[in-house]
Amino acid sequence: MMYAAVYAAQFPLQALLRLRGDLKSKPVVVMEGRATQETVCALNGQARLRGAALGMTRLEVESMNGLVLLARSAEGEAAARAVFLECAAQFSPRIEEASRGTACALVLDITGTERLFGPAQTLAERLRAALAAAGFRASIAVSANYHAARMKAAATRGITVIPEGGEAAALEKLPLATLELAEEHAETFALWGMRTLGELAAAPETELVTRLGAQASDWRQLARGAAEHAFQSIEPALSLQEFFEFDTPVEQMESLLFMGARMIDCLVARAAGRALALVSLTVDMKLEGGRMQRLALRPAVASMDRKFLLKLLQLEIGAHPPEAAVVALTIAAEAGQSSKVQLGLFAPQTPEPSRLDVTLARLKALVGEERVGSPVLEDTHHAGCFRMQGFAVDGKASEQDREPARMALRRMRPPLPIWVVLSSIVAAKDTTRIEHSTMTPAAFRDAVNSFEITAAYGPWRSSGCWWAGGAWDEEEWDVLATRCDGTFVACLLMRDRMRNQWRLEAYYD
Amino acid sequence: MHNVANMRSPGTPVCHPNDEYRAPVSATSKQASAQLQSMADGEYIELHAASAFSFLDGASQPESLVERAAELNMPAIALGDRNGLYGVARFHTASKRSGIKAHIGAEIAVKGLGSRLRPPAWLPHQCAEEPPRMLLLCASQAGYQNLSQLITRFKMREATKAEGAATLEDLEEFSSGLICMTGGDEGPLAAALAHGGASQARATAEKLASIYGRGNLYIELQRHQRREEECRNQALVGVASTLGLPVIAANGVRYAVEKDRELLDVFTCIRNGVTLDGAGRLLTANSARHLRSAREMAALFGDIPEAIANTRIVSERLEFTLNNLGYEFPHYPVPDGETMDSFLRKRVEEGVLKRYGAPARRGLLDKARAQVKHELALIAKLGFAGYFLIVWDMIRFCQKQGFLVQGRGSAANSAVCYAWKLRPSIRWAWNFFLSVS
Repeated sequence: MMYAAVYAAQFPLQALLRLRGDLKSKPVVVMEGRATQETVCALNGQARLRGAALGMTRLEVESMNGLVLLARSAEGEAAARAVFLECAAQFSPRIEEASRGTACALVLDITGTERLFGPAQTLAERLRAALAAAGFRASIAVSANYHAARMKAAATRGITVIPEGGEAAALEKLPLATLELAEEHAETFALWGMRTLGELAAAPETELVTRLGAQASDWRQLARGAAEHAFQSIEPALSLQEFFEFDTPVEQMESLLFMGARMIDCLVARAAGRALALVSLTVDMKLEGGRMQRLALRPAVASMDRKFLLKLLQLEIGAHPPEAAVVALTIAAEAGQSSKVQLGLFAPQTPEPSRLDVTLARLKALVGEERVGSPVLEDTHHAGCFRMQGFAVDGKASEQDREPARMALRRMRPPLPIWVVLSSIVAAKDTTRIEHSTMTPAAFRDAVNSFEITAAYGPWRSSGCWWAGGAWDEEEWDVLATRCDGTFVACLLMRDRMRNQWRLEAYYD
Repeated sequence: MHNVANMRSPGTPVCHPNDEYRAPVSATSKQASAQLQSMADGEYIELHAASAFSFLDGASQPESLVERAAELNMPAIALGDRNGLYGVARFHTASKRSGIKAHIGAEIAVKGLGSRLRPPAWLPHQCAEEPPRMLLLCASQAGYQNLSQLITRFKMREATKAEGAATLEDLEEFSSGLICMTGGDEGPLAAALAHGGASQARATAEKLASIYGRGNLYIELQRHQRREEECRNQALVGVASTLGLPVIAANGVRYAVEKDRELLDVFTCIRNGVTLDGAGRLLTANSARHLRSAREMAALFGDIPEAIANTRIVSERLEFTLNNLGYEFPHYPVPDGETMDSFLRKRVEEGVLKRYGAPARRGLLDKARAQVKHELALIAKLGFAGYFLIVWDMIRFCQKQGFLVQGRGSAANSAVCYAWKLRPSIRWAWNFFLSVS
């Protein structure tokens, strides 16, 4: 067997700094705890040089000049951990979590990966580079023994490859604290003058067990790099999500986009690691006051083009600017197979999907989202009802309907108010009753023209939605009419029976 | 050109806002006007109406349909529920109260004539394939018997509870005494037109004509002020003209009054398992499937007046009502010189004497004889003597064999049966004898 242990110290700090390159060269401490009782839970080297230390209170660190104080973010750490795990998963499907305290540690079973990634040293370098690209600094140790790799990675910086059989030698200089002993036992070893794993490994096993119990045998095995371990692999689900909490509420779109760009970069890189592309992005903005605002980006085709995705994000935020200052930003992506469109030799050229998306997004920002797309008839008897659905090019040649050509109807939007004269053919013998008479439109005029109707067919009636506020009751007439200048038109007149209003609804082409 | 100065502005009434209908007419048609002028109330009979007994397909009780028909001065109305005669008894009783004639029929689903119209494929709600239904009306007692047997035949063919559908062979076997109307949306001609055009519609009509005879098949026209329906009507008129078949107007009534359309919409939602908001085009397009007056129908069919006139003709041809169901109980063989009534009287007298002839019970004899006399008169009037003699024969056989005989119902509770020592389930029920008849 062969294991590679990855150890990222000060993980709360790394989780916050990986998207904040500007702070990496500054002394930063991460505070946790309730407002009045905050203490330092992680810090970088620069902060340590200025005298900061773990466990210091806010008052103490604030007294030191130049320190940047950040609040620990559980959501940010969870997102960062998922990214950390994903980077590791690129090198082995078998991973065990070995995190301790504020560090994030993983052990990879890399048995049999030489042909894929080369020797252990090469794998370790590539793994470290992948983590660095994702914004993490981690130490790596490779060993045939699980615990040897884990402890060596936690105790050293950089990359260590322990040759098979050399575990004891590799561990001998490590402090006994590596074993994370209870305070009582640590004191006992201190009294005995034992300080390193090498000294423990050299001690006689029987004597140790006699004095400290059976667990001393396990410690000795660990110190010799010979302890056995039953590997428990975790199965990380692909969760493409990035989270960032701003230090102060952000109102400017540029700041949002700056951070959004970083997050999209990470998401694209993570998806690319699995040969996937981003099918959709969901942007959740936590606003000042606790409200949430959600934006959704769904490009026509799955994409890995970060510039294109960023442009879509910019247009979407431009179309739906946050209603208040943004406190935190979460971008979740849905991954899918990257699109591959087989172009036909004789098929008409269609616009490039990404450019089409950007154009559509620009149009949406310009005229409103509900006014861009393809019209789709609503499932209702109410004439002319439609909704817009997202426009997409599927790349397939459209199949022409085989229906015979029908007369086209050109609807007026909005319909034109008209004045109508009715001719009444009284049907009832009792002429005082007009409810049973046939009254047909005989002439009408709009604001400009007058028309005389030569033939009228109808009425065609529809009504519905009686249970809700949108009730309608309408009748339509198909009429042939001549304008005063002698031109001939075929049009559709509509009478709103509820309001008794007439409209010129459409022309027949 | 009309005087534009006389035109009214948008928003002001240009006609009576409550006018209930407009016929699909051409502005140049004056013929319709003349016919409307002469239309009297009784000249249209609604022959295609379904009640709420067409489960979730009709929204009014049979009584409501009859009451509305009476309000509209309709002299008769026909009830045709889906695949059954469930509502006819109530329909008939209500019609007797209202003094109008109740024609009996049923919408019968038929296999072998294609499938009913279905929603276009692009609509979200689709329905299962169903056979088309056409209306069969009972012209005579034989027609009623045939319709009953037809329904029984195809219902019994189903292995589980189901609507069922008649085959063309069933129609041929039980065709006499029935008048066939081809139906509206749900009918076979609408289906044939949609699937195969006019030629298929002609073939279907010819098939039906060969089953029912040309004089008993009517091409049904319905006008609910929908364009697609009118397009179909024009095609049907062409089919009828080509084949020399008569056309008939009907409104495919599903509710008595316009307002009940709301109830039908709710029923439609229940039937399809959807909400009102989500039902879309499953719901009716307008409120036109109510009972309309003769004037309204005449206005609607102003261009085809014979379609209206034929409703009256068909109504006159429908002689059958539930008043003369025509059922006769079996005859009981009696000795020469006796009628069933006289033979029954003697047997009852024997029984009365056996029960009350003893001196101790002489006091009840006169009372019993009076009751028996009353009952025998009623039995003779209703023609039930054969039935009671069969009951007497069965009692006699059981008594010989030593079986206990007990009866239930109004006949078993009669003094006649009591005289034969039939144990009634309710001993004190004499006074209710045949009171339900």
